[in-house]
Amino acid sequence: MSTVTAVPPVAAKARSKPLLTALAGVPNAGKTTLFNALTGLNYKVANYPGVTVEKRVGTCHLAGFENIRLVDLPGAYSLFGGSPDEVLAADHLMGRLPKEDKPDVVICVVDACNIERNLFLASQIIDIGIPVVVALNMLDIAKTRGLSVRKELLAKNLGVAVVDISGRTKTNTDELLRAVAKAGSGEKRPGRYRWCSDKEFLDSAKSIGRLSRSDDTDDPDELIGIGIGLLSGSRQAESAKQRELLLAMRKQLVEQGVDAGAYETEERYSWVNSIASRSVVQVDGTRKDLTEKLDRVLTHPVWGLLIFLMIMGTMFQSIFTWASIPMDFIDSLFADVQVGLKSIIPPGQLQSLIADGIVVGVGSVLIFIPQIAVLYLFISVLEETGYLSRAAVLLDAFMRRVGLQGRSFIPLLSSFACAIPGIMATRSIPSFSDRMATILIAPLMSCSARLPVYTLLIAAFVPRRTVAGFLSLQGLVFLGLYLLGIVGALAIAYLLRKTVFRSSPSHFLMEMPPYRIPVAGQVLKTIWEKCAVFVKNAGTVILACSILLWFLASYPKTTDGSPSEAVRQSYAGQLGQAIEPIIEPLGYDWKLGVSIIASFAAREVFVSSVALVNNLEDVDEESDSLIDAIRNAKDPETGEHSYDLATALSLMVFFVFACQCMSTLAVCKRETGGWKWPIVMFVYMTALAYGAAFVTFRLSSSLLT
Amino acid sequence: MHKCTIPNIFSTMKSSILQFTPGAKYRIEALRDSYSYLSQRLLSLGLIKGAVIEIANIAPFGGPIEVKCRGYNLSLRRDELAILTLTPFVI
Ligand SMILES: Nc1nc2c(ncn2[C@@H]2O[C@H](COP(=O)(O)OP(=O)(O)O)[C@@H](O)[C@H]2O)c(=O)[nH]1
Ligand SMILES: [Mg+2]
Repeated sequence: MSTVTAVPPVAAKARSKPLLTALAGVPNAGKTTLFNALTGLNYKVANYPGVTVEKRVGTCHLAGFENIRLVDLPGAYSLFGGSPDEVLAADHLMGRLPKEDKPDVVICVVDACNIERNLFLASQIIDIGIPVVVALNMLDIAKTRGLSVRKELLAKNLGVAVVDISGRTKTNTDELLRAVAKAGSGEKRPGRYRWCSDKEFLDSAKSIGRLSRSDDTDDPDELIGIGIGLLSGSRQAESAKQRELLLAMRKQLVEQGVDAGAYETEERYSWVNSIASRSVVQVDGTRKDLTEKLDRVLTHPVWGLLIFLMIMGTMFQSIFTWASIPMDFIDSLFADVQVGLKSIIPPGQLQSLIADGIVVGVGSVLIFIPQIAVLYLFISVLEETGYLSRAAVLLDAFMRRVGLQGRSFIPLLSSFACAIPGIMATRSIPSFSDRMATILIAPLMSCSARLPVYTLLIAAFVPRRTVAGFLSLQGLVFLGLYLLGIVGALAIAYLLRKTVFRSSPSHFLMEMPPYRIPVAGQVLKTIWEKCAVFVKNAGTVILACSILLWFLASYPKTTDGSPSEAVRQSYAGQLGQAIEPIIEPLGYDWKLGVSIIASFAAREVFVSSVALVNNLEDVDEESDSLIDAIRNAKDPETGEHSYDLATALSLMVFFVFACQCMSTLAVCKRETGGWKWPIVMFVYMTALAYGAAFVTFRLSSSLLT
Repeated sequence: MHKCTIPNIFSTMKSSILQFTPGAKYRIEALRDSYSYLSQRLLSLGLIKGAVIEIANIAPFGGPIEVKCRGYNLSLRRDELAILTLTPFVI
């Protein structure tokens, strides 16, 4: 807080209590854009307690309005809608959330180009009774479309202040804030329930609402709101008496020829419609529809699919080529830091902990940043243009056949870089079963952490040969591993839909935004936020696990013996030998066992761990010494080669399916709100990995010899 | 539970689904099962009795159908659309 020494007591008091202002509106009305325009960088992204809906809170950065505190609410189509986002937005607005204050003012963001649906929600918000300012947004688009809005008329009909703004171009934001300050200081509540001319209906709703005990309120208007929720079926009756009254009221409405569940919506829409048609005037009817023309092509059975595949191809190519330059840089940077630290810190346990534990841990997190940044560059540009919605539509027919839906596509796509942003992207799937199925299969997409493992094993064991004249055998194996993950994922999704989620409904229902030119600032912001979230999630877990792994591999200290003996006798070595009987059928010895255990923290640890147990230093997956070392590793007793192509194939198949990523499990727990689903995920993936690796090893051993 | 008196002409509706063509307009006569989550969703999106929708686009391979209503576009699966009772709309 700022210092207030020189300010008179009254002003100090006024400043100490900020004006809490909520931004509400339907999805894509421009709330977040406006929020960013008003707060600058003065904000933080948090979650609502217990759920994973994002909450942004910030302080206004425009001069003179610093005491306005802004909250960006989740988007809602209706306050009685019942989707998690909508329930949260409604609860927040009505002050029903235990840890959140009820807002003093609501800025209702209304998309001027989509006025009816937006005013529908605005009218529901006005009914709550908090002072409302309507921000008529997207003024810039409205102008180009030839829409003229008579805002005085709108204000008069709605009974609240209306300011026309553009969040994107920051037009009229000062005027909006003045209106907010005014609304916050005034006592006058806006006119409520203007849409309903039926006094009797409101009275019955009120008397039904009064029987709900869970809301401790006597406000007649709030009671009406509760009654309406009950009537539409979005709230459940709390007592037999209430249920009886409710049924009687529905029956009465039905006898009047009214569909009781739709009554409020229909009445409200017809009121909103009459206001909208008077206050929004289409001056120039020549709205050229580029969107429709583009859609003809982009959702065409042939062209649409071809374009989609081309975009995906370009994206993957870029993730692996563009990102490799900064990745190599980060890699060598951390190697240098490691060498540097070793020369500064005297040898000993501290040096080992910092250089081998912490630096390696931090490096193995940061190395993924370039790929995630490139991925989100594509995703956010495609999203901003509106293309991702079309891709979801195009894919829905396929995805629903395996028990998913079109929206699952974006999270799965992100999972090719990393399952963490992928799982978080499932928040956009409103249907519970679709979302769960998507979360559960997301880690089967071959993420970039598997790349170093595949690269090492393929280079060491798959012959450099061409098949059918031009195809590289190594490349084919690589592709095969990716496809194996995808096919496995789809099969699992199908099984889930046929068993666990058999009876859960799946909805698609998606709004198609018009095509838009993306804004660079918005894209950069998305990239920044995603990378920050990744570092926060993966960073903490991977760092902790790297330190633990370092500890297990370094202790207990043996005073004599070779380095390989030291590893053998360490806790990690003992663990490896303990699980040897379990992994032997897959073709692995205890050394691989150590590395597999290590890789359960994070897959990429496998490579450094193989190097560790084989007593090599400063290696990466392409280093010849490491490749030679595992190729030529010999069993000390029999003198035979420890590993062959069958081992490598089995190992790679194991990596395709196994859930070797603590951060994924941690994110899964957070997103699903408990341990149940992460446990399911871990168990099924491990079982699948074991089974598939076993079959691979047996088959390839018998076929290859 | 009492029964709604809305006539259920779902069966006649189903056949007309197959004949949807872009540009065709329909008037919504009723919604089935108006207390359900899906119906409430459609209602709050403005697909209420009396509203006119226009078929904007039909996704290939039996995919969702995009309709234009109240100045915006909404994509829904065929079985979601089937919750609406529609009649062809002619001016
Ligand atoms: N042209 C224009 N686009 C806008 C304006 N406000 C928001 N947008 C765009 O509308 C889209 C949705 O905005 P967003 O703030 O994410 O909406 P939210 O879902 O309500 O948070 C984004 O692509 C924005 O860039 C505006 O005033 N003018
Ligand atoms: Mg937003």
